[in-house]
Amino acid sequence: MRRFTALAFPFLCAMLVVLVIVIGKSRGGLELAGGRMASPGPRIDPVCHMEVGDETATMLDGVPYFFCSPYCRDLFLKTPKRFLTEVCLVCRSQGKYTPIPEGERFEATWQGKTHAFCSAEHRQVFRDDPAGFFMHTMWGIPNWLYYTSVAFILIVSFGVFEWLAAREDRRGKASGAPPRLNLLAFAPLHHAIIHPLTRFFARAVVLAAFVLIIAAGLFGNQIPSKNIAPILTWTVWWGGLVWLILYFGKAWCYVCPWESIANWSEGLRFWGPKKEGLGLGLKWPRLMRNIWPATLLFVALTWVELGFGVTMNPRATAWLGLGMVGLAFVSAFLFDRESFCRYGCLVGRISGLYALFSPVEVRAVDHDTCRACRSKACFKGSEKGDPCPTFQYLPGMEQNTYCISCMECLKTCDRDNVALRLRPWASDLAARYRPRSDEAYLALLMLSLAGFHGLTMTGAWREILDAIQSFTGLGETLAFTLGMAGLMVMPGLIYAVLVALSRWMAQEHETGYRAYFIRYAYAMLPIALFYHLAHNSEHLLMEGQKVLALLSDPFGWEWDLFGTAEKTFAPLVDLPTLWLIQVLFVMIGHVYSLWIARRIASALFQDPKRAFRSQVPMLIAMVLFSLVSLWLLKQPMEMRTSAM
Amino acid sequence: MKWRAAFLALCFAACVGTAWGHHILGIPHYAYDKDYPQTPVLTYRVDMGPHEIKMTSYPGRPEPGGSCSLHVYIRRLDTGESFDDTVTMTVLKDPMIGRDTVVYGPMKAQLEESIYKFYPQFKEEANYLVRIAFEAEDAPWIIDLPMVVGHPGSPWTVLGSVAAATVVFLIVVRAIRIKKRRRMAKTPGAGQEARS
Repeated sequence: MRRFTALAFPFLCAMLVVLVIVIGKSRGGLELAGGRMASPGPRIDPVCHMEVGDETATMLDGVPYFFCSPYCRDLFLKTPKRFLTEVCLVCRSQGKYTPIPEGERFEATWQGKTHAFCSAEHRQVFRDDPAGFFMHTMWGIPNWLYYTSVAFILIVSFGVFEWLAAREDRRGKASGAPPRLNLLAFAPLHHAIIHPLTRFFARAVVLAAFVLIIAAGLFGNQIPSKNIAPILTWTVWWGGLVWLILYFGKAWCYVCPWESIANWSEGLRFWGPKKEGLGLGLKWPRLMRNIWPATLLFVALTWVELGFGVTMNPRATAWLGLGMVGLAFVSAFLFDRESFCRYGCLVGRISGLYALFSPVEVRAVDHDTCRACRSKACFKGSEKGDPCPTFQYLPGMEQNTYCISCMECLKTCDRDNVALRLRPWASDLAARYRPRSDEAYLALLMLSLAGFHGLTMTGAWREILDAIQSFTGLGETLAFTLGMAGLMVMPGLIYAVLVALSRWMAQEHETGYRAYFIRYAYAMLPIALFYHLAHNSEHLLMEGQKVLALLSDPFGWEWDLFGTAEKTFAPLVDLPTLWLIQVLFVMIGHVYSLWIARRIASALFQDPKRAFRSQVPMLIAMVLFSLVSLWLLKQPMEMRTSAM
Repeated sequence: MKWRAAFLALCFAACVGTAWGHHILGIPHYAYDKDYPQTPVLTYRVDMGPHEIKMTSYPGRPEPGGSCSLHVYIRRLDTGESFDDTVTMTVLKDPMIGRDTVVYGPMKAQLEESIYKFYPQFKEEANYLVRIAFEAEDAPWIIDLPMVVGHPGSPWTVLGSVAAATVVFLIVVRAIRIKKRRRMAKTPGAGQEARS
């Protein structure tokens, strides 16, 4: 039963999330007074300016108003005048709701609509960055939920979890190997995966979507709200990617369009094993045989994405996509196998690190069978399939990081010794394989950058930027760069200090500081992963539905292919439901981090007392990072598609 | 015979109506040069509050270093009355990344033959925003209209360069492969060594 629960837990979590969404939807999302309105067209929440779908209206003086959440509705009903009186757009963004005095009205028009301001200065502020004022505000988790979550994290961290762990130590650890379920025992799935056309069709579908993004981005209407490229890339794909990794591991790499284009061009075939490619087959430079190139690319992408608003620029989005194709293409023609996927691809490496957590794995069934095998076809390839594109030797593969789930090993193995298995979440992190410094630094960087992503969408980031600019006198771009660099380094520094403290408290002299630093860094990964998931869920579930309208007019050329171009779709969840889902994710991430830290501590120290002492500073680090995650979720957030 | 010819000429003349000067949104047709219709006129019509604003640019897509005639016509939607006070125009460069910078103006103009005329010069190939501002009924009105000089955002230019670079890259890779193969063929046993 325990083994079954461990395997089923990820899917129970998914069912819980679906259940929360269904319950939220079935109770009408919001308990509002008044009848259901059927008037067509978009409805704007007068408080947060979010576009709401066919929600129930609240009537006030015979006029229907629509709200995204009870929070906005209550705020509105308390002081409707505050939201109905014309207020300066700039003042409102600063939380001031002073009506514009008679005779002191300044106006500016942007994208065909006229807006009022209280002064010429504020009008100028608006003109400098008009898009910024049309972001709707998504309210963060309410106080009661925030404080309840904080209490839960503290109790679990310092109380229940340690008590349970101590009890486990007293009773002895559970014996037996972690549970696994080989999905390939289901024969139709096995046949489908080894069929050469299966991957080709899956890749072709994704490639078609990618071509649509590129074409729309390059040639379509450049107003982001009228072009499918930004929302399909940054909200649906990027938002959904973390979900995909969490349940299907490296499934994205199986269908990756960049790799498809590069691989098909170099191998001059769409399916089946490669005969002789057109490339040079050089070895990837020794100095770069790590994931630092991918890490640097990821930092660069974040800088461009957040610093220059690429997420709202269709053409820049398309060029970024083509840039990735270019890198994969050049690498395929220069280097052996798919070296770019192994070392250079930022998406591959981030998903690789997160996939340490995922509940699926490709592994050898029996290592003795592998040892007896002379052909080593899984590594070298055969007439049935390609050699492992990322240079993985199956019996030696202990974690998901560098596997791209291409399933070529399944095709080439003569002894039917490859399994695609279900396993509990975080199996790789809990296993004691050799940690690597580049992976550890990327794990810490993921923690920083996931938080940084969230922070830049809050009002706090504007204040930080203003403070940097006024203190240093730097321009906006340099101030942004400085702020980003500072926030990237800060969690790492805090972690480094706490690692030193942990080492000192445990009186550890055998393991060096660096090894200690690297080993514990993996424990921070679930916090980063689940905060990333909580943040992306906000985009995906609240904004992702806008893609349905754009599917009818992907280029913004006034088409209406499926009759949805003029329709407004309600978000998939209402705000209170989203808050519950987000908090649930942060909790899950925190509990997994605690568990992994405990596993690491018990691997480092035989003595339970020393293990416990070494864990205390790490607990502080994890509590701190989880509380920052919750604080970020508490902040009102500016959603990116509202400016589109 | 003469009378008959004169009668026919009079009939023909009677059929011809008044010859109106043909204008397209403020630009007389004789303004078109030999490039017409290859050089199009850019035309915008926007409703803003109670006003209708029309802007034309000739040429519609000026070349870098050249100037253009920007004509603005403003009238009230309800009464059809033309606006006759001062109109200000500013042209801003609109880069793909970063902030807009002013490259022309703010320049004020008075009504001239029922339109406002501006003659900005564009030094660089880029995307620009033409900002028209005026005050009516004690309220300021501003509208930004996009304008393109040369072919800056044209993906075809970059795509063409990328395609050319790809072809060069493939030729170089092919040449290196051929050279490698020849070297291998010259060295006895090199192929076998490599295979083993």
